[in-house]
Amino acid sequence: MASEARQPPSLRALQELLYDLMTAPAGVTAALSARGLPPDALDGVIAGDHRLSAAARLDIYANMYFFRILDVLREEFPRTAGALGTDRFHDLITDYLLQARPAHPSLREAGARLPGFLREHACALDRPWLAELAALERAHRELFDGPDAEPLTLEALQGLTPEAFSTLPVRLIPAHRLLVHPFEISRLWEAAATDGPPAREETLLVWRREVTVHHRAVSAEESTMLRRAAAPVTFAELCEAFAGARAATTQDEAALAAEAFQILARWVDDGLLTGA
Amino acid sequence: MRRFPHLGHGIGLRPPHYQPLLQALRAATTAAERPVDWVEIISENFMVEGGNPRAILRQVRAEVPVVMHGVSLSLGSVDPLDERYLDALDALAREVEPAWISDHLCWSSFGGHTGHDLWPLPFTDEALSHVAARVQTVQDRLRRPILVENVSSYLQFAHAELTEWQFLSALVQRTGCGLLLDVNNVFVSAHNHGFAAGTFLDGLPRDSVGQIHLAGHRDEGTHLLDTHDHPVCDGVWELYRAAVARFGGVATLIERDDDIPPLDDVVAESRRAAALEREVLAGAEAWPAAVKPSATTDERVARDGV
Repeated sequence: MASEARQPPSLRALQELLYDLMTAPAGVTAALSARGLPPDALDGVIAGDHRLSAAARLDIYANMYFFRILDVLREEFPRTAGALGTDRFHDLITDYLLQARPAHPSLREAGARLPGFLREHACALDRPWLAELAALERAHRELFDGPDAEPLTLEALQGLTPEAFSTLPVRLIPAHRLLVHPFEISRLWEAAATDGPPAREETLLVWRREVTVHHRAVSAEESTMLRRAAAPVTFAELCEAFAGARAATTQDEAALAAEAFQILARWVDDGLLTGA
Repeated sequence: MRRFPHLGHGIGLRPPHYQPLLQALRAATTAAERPVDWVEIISENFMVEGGNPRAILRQVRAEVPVVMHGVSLSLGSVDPLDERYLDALDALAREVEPAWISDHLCWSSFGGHTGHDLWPLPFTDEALSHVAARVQTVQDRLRRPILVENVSSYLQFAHAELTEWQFLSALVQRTGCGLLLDVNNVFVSAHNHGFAAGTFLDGLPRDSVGQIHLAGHRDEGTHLLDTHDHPVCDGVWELYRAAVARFGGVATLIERDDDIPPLDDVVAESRRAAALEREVLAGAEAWPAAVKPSATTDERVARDGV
């Protein structure tokens, strides 16, 4: 550092030094100390004055780096942050930014790796459902401005002959996710809690209808149909998938068909299907 | 000759204003009734696949001109320019057909990581050559000159060889880019570094400024912080008056990014800017004493008849 102070650093050397100091978890002075340097080590690089030392000026940027991303992530993961509390969420993000430094030009992507990171983090060891909650919040964020598609409408389907209807190729809109959680996360979504949801597996369908993102729990049969509809499929094939999922139970064909159609009608109503 | 048209007076397109702005634009039967003449978008917020942001943008674009303002080009970084980012920016520009595209004189990434901030550059010959080459590349890629904005800064480098205005002027000369003059940023940096804000304006080529930003900041005691969470303060209005006197009528935008008030409040600030510009251009005002330019500028103003 002493030699850097005497000889102006190159642009590359300067950016490397400042990036390291501005993104250090405990501020610039602590980062200098960790390098065995005194607080005034930057005086030859940055012009300080009576109001602010060189390190204090760089600290303004260090604070903005951390708190801007913290604010964005708190907004994106309000329930996860609420369950953890202010201090623990702050500590989580401090650790997160060390291991998952933002690499995308958009702040939208800053939280993409947080659910996975949370699965391994100490703060979630006694609350393994936290990572599942974060995954659901992230899915909401991603689908909010995910790809558009023109949904099939009931009016358009009503105009089809029964044969044309059953052979019409359809698929799920791209703005959807199917999340399988080992906990009943949907309970936690509605009422903030810190003691966690029941440890019962739950499959959640998350999707965007027009401009609003929704989610709801789905049955095993509907889950099978949804997986099938991720690729082009006909209504007849979807009914078969439903019947297959119910194979272990005894039920007459007409009742099965009625139940399958009920699910499909809801999909159309929810704007979940588009032409394949 | 002015290369960037005077679009009038606009505001930044922000989510709380999406619906009220669209309603007001559609309700207007004449241009004079419109709440704004144009809007600016933060490019990155609309570089997404679909959903509400893109839907709103299409609707707003059908009503008024749009300009694209980015925060992640990282013109001063030693990292390579991000090709995927440039592709996405270009794709958005093809769809939006903006009046122009702008970004900042700063670096915001290093080692493949981004800081989501506008970090200051040393005003050195090395940095100037580096930034100029990258501006040229971006302009070639986007097939148009871009506007480069001065940032608020909280530090200066001991080894600087140029002032910020000398750096910007040289950048304009070398690349043919225009400037997005953020008057609030000049005010903030002048306070933080102890230079005269009028000298900054005085040092820029008169025909280089294609757009002006006005915004609010916060006084942190030891420094001013560029927060965009307050109305434009009196000092910045005075400096804007000086900017209009020097650069003439320039497309001017009110930037508000935090504690965003109702649309009417932001539009009222935009109309205040329009009224102030009319007043200055009508010749009612000379240079305000607080930002009185140097004798050199006085001579130039007299010569150019501004």
